[in-house]
Amino acid sequence: MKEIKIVVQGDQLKFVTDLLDRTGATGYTIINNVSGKGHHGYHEGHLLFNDMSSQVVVFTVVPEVKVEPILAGLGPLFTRHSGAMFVTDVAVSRRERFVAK
Amino acid sequence: MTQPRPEKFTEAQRMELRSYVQLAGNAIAQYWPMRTFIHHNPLHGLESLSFEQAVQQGRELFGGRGYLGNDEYRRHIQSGRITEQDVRHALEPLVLDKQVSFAGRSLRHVDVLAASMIQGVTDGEPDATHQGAPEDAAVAQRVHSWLESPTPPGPSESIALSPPSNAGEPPAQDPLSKWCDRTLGTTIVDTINREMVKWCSAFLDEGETSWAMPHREQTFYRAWKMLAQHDLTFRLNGIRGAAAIIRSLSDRSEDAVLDSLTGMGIPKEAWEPYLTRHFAALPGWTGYIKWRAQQPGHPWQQIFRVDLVKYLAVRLFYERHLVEAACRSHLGFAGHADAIKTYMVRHPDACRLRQASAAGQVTNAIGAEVRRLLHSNDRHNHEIWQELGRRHDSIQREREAVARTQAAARWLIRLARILAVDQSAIDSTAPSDAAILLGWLASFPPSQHGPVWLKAFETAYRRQILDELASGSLAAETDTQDEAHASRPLSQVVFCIDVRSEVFRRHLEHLGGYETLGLAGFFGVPVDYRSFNAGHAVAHCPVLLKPKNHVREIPRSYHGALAERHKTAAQVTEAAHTLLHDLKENVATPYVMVEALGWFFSVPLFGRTLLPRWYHSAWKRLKNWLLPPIATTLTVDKITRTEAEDMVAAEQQAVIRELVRHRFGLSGAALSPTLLETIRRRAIGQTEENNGDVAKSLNLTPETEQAFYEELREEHRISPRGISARLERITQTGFAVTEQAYFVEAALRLMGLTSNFARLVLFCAHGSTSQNNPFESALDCGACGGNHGLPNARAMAAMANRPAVRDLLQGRGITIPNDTQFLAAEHDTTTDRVSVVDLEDVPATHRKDLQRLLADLDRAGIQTSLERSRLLEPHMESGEPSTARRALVRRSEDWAEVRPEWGLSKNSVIIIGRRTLTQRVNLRGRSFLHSYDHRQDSSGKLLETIMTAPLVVAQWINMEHYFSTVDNEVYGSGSKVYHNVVGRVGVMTGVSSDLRIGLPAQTVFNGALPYHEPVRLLAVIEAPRPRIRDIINRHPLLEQLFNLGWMTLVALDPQDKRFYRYDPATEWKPEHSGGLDHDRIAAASDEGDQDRRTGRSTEIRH
Repeated sequence: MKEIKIVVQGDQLKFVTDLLDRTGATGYTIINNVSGKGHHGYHEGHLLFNDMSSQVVVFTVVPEVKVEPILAGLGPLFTRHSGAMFVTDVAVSRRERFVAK
Repeated sequence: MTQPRPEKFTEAQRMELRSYVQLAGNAIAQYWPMRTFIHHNPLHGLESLSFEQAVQQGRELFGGRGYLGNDEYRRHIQSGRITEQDVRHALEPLVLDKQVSFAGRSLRHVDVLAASMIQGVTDGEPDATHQGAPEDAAVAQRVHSWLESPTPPGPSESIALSPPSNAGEPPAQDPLSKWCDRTLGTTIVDTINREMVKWCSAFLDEGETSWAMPHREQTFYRAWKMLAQHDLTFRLNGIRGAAAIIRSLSDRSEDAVLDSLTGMGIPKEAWEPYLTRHFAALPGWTGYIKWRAQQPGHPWQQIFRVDLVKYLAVRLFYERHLVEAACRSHLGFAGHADAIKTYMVRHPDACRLRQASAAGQVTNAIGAEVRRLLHSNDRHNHEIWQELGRRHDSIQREREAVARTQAAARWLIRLARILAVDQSAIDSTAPSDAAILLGWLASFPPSQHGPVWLKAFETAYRRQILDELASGSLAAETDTQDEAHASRPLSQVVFCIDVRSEVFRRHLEHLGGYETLGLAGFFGVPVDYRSFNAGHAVAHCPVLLKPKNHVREIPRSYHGALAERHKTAAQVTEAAHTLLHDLKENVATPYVMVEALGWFFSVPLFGRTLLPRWYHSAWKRLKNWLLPPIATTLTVDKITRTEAEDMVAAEQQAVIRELVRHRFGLSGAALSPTLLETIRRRAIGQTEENNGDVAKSLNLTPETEQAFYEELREEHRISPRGISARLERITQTGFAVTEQAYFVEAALRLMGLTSNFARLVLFCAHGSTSQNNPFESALDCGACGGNHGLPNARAMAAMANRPAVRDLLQGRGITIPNDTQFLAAEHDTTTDRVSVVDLEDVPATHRKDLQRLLADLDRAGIQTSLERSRLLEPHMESGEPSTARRALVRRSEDWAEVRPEWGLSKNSVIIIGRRTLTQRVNLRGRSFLHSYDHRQDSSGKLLETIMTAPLVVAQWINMEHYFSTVDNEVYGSGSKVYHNVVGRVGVMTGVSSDLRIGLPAQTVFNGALPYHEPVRLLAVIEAPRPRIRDIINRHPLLEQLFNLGWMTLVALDPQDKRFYRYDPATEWKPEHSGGLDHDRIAAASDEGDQDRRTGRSTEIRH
């Protein structure tokens, strides 16, 4: 199983979750308003009245076969928008929960 | 549906395509449905480019202009709004330090460029006024001959008289359909657009039509696939066997898109720009689809799914097959990018000839040859075309040379006339100088004047506004007390930052004793609000936010019976509307209906048309008599689970009591609370044991008792599921006390109102009233997502009045006196009436204060009406306040009125700072005002909030107005007169067009002339410069806006009280009122005695 962590701008969140839904990820976790430093400099976290401009992290765990479509779907996006994606091996309990029927 | 077959594309390819489509869609701005009109930048998707690049890109994609016409800017020169100095200042970055001698006069580069702009030296058309005179004709002839003489100068080759032809280049980004239209004279793009409008308007309909498109639940692409097989227009459009082809298409929209792209030979690296151009063909419909696809909760999207990939699947199908048909018929080869590229490379002259012929730019002789060729058997013989193309090219080159010389002569004569030099001396100019001069003029054609004009216009405006702010603040300084010792105002009134509030605030403050503040009109409380009798909730907050709290409007407790009547009336009205709609839209019934009911509608028809004010007041009286208005309140407090459970239990017991009384005739002591509760618990299965007590009391058998419980569960929802649904509904509304304290504190701190509270503090929201106006929402509160802001004001006032909230606030350093009462109101921006609501919550001790406030709001409203009516009805010179108000009320009630108010037109500046900065200045309803006290914000967090939300919303509004004005046909929505509402989502022009984006002409134009002055928003922020800089550095969004020229930023430094303009290159530049000779001005400012207009440094003190 692979864990994929995706950091994107808030306004791209819908695209990412849509992509995960379409590729058959059985679930994901979203952390809103994250701060950090990347290629585009420092990104501030929590904004009081603006959800679109802060960064979010999306986690998901998928079987290895699903990684390629997800990477293919995010590749072009990251050529234009700030963000990052990390893929790591992961062990899970209740493996069947992470495999789409 | 097609049979399953081996998949042509992999999942990875599909997802990659989706990513490209997402990127391609970036350039298209989202379009919100019209019922919640959101002001936005039509080039929002291009904000990662500089303003000028984005305008250029906008021209390429949408065909829109990014600046006013040069004549329009010249009108401002004539009126003195822009000075020649402003123009020269704006030209500075372009100017070379060179000069030439022309007809005996020395001319600097800047003089030539300025003359070119201000006098239109290089404007295309010969000016008839002067060319007509015989002596001018003689001069023209002479200059012409001189220019043609073998000695230099010779007209510059760079004089571009027609756009350069790219016939020899492959159509890398242009859709093949467009290439065909341009080269073959076909109308494929129009055909595709027409088809897409047909399918989009049918599919995206949200309840407007009576005959809905079938199969919509199958998604846009599949519904099209099912219906298009029976569409005869394919045959008309020259596509043969369409039904079979469509049947063979994949059911997956991604596969259909991939199929079309590969079928047309579009390489992957070109997908993004290629698809962007397809979206840009109908930016309204695609913008709406883009919005809708991102709204998972949108009820229509949940049932009838559509997204940009599905849209493209249909669109590219048409393109592929229409291009194929056109290429086969005109060129004799396949409609494939590679084939077209090869043709263009091998036969560039033929290609240019075809394009010139399609554009009607060939001579008669060549035209006749082309027509003959088209109808001959040689029409696919590209060598013959190429040969003809060469002839056309040489003729074209000769014609261009003549035209160049004529243009050059025209320019020189105009320049001589402007400079008042002897025209006959033109040919005495040294040839080298003449060549340089013509080169300067040619390299600065009228099409490049726009950005310079805009800069000059903005400089002029900035100078004026900063001058006014500086002098206003100086005046305030002389007679204001130290704010720390300020006495308590009569009342404090918090308005939205909207530009219309400024007028009202000024008149209210003028009455004396009032303090007004500005805060984004949702007052910092984002809510999902459901009004009484409304079917669903609406988000009342900026679209940058998603509300996390729900608030409902419920009748006041004492209005129980009336509330029931209201509910019934609402149901009856809805049923009547549906019936009427059905009768009107049915094939047969309208004939009978007109006879039977037509007369009934004549009263409103004549009333609304002839006597709108009378009709509305009569109708209102009748309505109030039939159904008195109901007093309501909001569910601001969160109800705990236990409280909610008790509430639900009580409701259910009441239902059981009624049933038992009527069905079993029980009453009095027999109908005990214990019995009711026992029945309830058994119905919801909370108790298993049954000792027969209920059966005995109700005289039931065990079977009938069970049937009774079943009935309770099924019909009255007295079941675990029913309870849990009800509990969820009750407990998800409202705010916990800590949340309330958080929101109140944020709002108060944001505007710097943390002490010296008045006895009454009014949160005054705003909304507009107009009839028959699809754009009504554009006049409502932008900070409330295009809704009225009253619910937010009511929620805020209710929270701030809560003692528990005040206790928490005291712990956080904000002490609100016990005698401070918060109120909510709404300013109707069309009529300038303010309605204060929830008056039953005002304690008797504040009766007098309230009376005074109401009277003053009315007086201020009348003065505001007077000021506004002078702009709306300039012909009415009476100056009578009552007449003005009557005229404005009529506008709000007249269903033929196309301009109920000017709305946010003329917005141009946002000022973030204390009111002392602006209090003495008449900002003429052009300024967004956000209160902010830099002394209470050492961390910069408050300013960060203001800059990342209200400032951004103001910029959207500003850009919407800007682009709707500079090109109303492309970025605006044209005249309202031709609008038809489509699908309840927007308007089209006529019966078939793109969904019109932007503002109508009546909002930003006064007759033929622009009313709105299109300048980019100027932000004036009173705060230390490093603080502002830090915030910009932290937010790419702000960096983009300020560094790429989408808005201008000026800081008022609290230390030295001077204005500094933010410049990404040099950080901060001292801003001088003249904006010209900086060194001289700085010196003059030290002397402190120079006239402001000629360049005194603007300096203010608090």
